[in-house]
Amino acid sequence: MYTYDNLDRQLVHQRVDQFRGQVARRISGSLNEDEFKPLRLMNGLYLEMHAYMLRVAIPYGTLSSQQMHKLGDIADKYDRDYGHFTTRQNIQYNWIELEQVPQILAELATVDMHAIQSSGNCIRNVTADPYAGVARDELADPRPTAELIRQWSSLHPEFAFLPRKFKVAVSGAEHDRAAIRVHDIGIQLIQNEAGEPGYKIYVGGGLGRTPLVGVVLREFLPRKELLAYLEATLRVYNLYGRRDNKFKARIKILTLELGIDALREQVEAEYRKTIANAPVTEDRLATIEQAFLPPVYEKRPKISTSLNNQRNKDQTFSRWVENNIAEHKVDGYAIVNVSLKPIGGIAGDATSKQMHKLADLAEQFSLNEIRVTKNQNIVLPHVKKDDLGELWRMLYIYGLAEANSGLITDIISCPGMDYCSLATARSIPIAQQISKRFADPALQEKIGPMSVKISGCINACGHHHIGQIGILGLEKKGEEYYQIVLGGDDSLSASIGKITGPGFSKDEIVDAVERIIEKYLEQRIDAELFADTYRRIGASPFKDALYESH
Amino acid sequence: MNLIKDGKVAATDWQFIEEGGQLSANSIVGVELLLNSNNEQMDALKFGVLIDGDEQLDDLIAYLTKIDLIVIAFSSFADGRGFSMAYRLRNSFGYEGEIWAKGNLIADQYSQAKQCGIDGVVIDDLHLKRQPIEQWQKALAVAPLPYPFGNQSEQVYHQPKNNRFT
Repeated sequence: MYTYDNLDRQLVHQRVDQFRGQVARRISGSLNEDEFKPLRLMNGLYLEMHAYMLRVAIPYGTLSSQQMHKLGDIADKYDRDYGHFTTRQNIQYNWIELEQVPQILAELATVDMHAIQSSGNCIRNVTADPYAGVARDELADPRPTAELIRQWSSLHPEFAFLPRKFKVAVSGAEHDRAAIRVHDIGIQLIQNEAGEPGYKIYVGGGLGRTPLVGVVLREFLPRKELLAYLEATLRVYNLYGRRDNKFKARIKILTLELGIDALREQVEAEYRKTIANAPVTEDRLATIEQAFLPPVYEKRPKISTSLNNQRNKDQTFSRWVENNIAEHKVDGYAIVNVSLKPIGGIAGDATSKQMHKLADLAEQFSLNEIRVTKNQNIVLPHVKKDDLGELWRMLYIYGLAEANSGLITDIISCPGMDYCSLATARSIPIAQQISKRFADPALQEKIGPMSVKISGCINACGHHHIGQIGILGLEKKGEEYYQIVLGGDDSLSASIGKITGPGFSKDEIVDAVERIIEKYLEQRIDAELFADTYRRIGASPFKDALYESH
Repeated sequence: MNLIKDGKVAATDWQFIEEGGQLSANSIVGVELLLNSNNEQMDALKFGVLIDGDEQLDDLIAYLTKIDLIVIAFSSFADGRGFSMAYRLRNSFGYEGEIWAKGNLIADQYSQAKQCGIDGVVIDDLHLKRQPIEQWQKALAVAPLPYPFGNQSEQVYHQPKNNRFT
């Protein structure tokens, strides 16, 4: 794991002092609310419906046990004993007092954490594959690149007041687990024909009101040119991105309006002009890479006999292994997905007790390392197969052993109208009802891999456009109603789902989801995935199921 | 006009010239007036140009060696285009004259402005009253700097190499 050096620490502590002063100047009236707003947002502080919300950055989703303990402490001390892990690998605290924020930031700084640029119209927390460094299908580890971008983008003087927020994600594996094609910039680690390492750069992806899939800006960018190229791209966006309408201000709209070829021409021209003064990638990247060398693993047999014995004895455990364990690149080890989606619970929420337990378990079983995923779950990346049984028993006691990773009850949901001042409808209760309807483990496994994603307004924080089943909560004449979108995909073959037709009331929506699932089970051939069935038979059969005779 | 420069409110004899005026000594004129002036005038006078975020820097390229001051008008403090314009002037076009930002930037942006190559910030009386010079000095002192990514390790990566004012 990357550990902070003196420079990192100094910067975070200075930032805490700076923000303390800004809060004081807001209170004294030196800064008015308009002026204070971007400053607090750039420190992750939102004003929500009931209270301030603080969003703490977890760069590329990587946490140490010590850091997780601190997150638990903060939940306990300053919030109502829980925190909410988000789709961009951050954690949010929903019940924060403004006056306490500088103190919370100071506490976070003691474990090398902060809330810098977790909000605002700047370059946001960089996200990456939660299986980075351990995935079987990985070509190259995305974390050094993500860390490089974190450093470059932190406190960037030129890009703190962009037209709109700017999100970057990095993936280095065959399967994209970072949804890079729905980010402002998506970066894929690749090699060219000569075997040299570099990047494929996507631009202009994003959800929200105008969901768009990112397109290729550069087919192959040599490794050493990354920061210079990103800087040129950001400069073009900063100068020419729209500022007249915040709903048209993301780089996806610039990409759409200019066309990708014209945008590329501008970026390349800017790149050529500024290359002499551009930030230097190489030495820093080489230094950072040293921090991400693989840990020392024990030599272990590929097959764990004790694991197999335990699985034979306990069906619940076996089911959890089946659904929540992913292949580790090292024999005898496993990647463990810890579900934060208990049946009927709130997606992504963890109590301080659970956070402390996860920290302890990571220390005991996972070389002190924890990852946070875009699906609002937790990953323990280095667990010996022989230890899975003991780990599972502990998780079970703390309500963290739901065996639903990637299944229909592993639902992504935004906070919705229960917390968010932008929301037009509630999302959490809908997610809870769907979760309860499909609670039966056998049914979930029969349905197989499935993603249900729910947003409580068109800003799409619940990523409904890229769920295989997406649900969008809206409001008409004081009544909440829910639209369904089908066919979304957040992998490298990304696609935006299409609206099926009229929406459903909050009492009808769960039945509607069930009818989609019934139609899928009826129509699928063998173990065909939902996305493939949908592509093969089209939307009509699903629309018939949803709207005919109902 | 209050000019904040080198950490203090600086005295200045520069004057903004309204539309329809003409190029004169220590005048700051719009792009259109500049383009209507002749080379002899430009060579003879010390003058500045006011440019806003909607205008193209390209219009100025031919005259950069003659212009002593470029004032970038920010439509609001949150309109960050001016930072990239200043960066471009310094690093893409090699402009060595003075650059100011106008449009009531806040004290907290002073450090960012300087790092992008902006020398002075022009604010109005009310704004200076609310954010007096001590706040600008303090804001500059407490602002954390970004990671150095330049060719020399201690160089702040946006510190322009050819900016004679820093």
